[in-house]
Amino acid sequence: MRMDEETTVLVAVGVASILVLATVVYITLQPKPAKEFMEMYVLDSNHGTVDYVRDLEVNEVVRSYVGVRNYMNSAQYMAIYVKISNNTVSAEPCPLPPLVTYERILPKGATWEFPLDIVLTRAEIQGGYTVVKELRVNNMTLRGLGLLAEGGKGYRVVFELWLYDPTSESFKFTGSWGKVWTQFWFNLMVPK
Amino acid sequence: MRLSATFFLLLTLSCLFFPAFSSATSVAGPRELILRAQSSIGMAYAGVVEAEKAGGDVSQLVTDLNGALGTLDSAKRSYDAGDYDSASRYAVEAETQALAVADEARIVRDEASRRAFNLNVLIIISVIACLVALSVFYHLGLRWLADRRLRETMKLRVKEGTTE
Repeated sequence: MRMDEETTVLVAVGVASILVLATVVYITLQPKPAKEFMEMYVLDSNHGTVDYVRDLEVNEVVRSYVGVRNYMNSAQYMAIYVKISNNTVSAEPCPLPPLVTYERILPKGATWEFPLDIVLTRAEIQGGYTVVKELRVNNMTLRGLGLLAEGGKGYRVVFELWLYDPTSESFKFTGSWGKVWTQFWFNLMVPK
Repeated sequence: MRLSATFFLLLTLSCLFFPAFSSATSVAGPRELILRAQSSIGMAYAGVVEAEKAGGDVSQLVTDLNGALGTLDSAKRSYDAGDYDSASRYAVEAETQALAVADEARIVRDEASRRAFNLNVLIIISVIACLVALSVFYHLGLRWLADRRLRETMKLRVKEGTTE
């Protein structure tokens, strides 16, 4: 069986058309690479965003919920640094050392939420400043602190999300996910 | 031989007479173990990411690695509380858990890579087979059309008519 010239051309054109069509369909059906990012939120004690504590007293429990969602393309080894600062520090990341750190591996697309109880157990007034000497975070007592705020106003609890970089074997604050941090403010009322 | 025996004797005596030195070495132990466990968890995480990128299911690995992180946290808390024995025990346990995850991650990655390779081979073979089948059907179809056209031509009859 011999193909004449016309038939050969037709077969070649047909096969080429099928290949081109298949390639176009394949490329069209491929999902577009989604933008990678991480999300972090802090909710109030009612799991909302309305009742954040504004004015706090010594030994009053502040219950909040911290959540992180992974929109990256792989599982992420992350660390949440909880810091307490005041309104005079605005750098990113906050240059203060973390009071507590929560580490977790978060699968792709997963959310991790946990309750966080903060109690300022000892504070003093020195001059015009309020100084927090001791506090408790989720039943872990931290002593020997010296967290200052003028008149007890403008304290802030900062939550920073750091991701582990296997190349440098360290946690990084900035990267392809941007910079992820959040905070809430409170004033501390200390009886004179 | 005598020299090393003397050195050993001096070392023992120094530990007896300087308790601060001996306690300092025992404190350094758990700290090093904690650092080693941390490093192992980082290494295991890198393995999990590789396995995931290869297309493997890493959900169990992530759960196990979070278990190792929990154990490491216990080690750090024990260390901060001055319970160095517990800190060492937890740190060793965390490292063991992390190394087990790293081993498992390698297996998951290799299996996923093998599956991906097999799938690619299957796709290539299928594509070639489809192309060959299409070419054959296309050619046979053309032949059938040509034969049909020929048969129709053969069926033509001359119709007698009148000319004006």
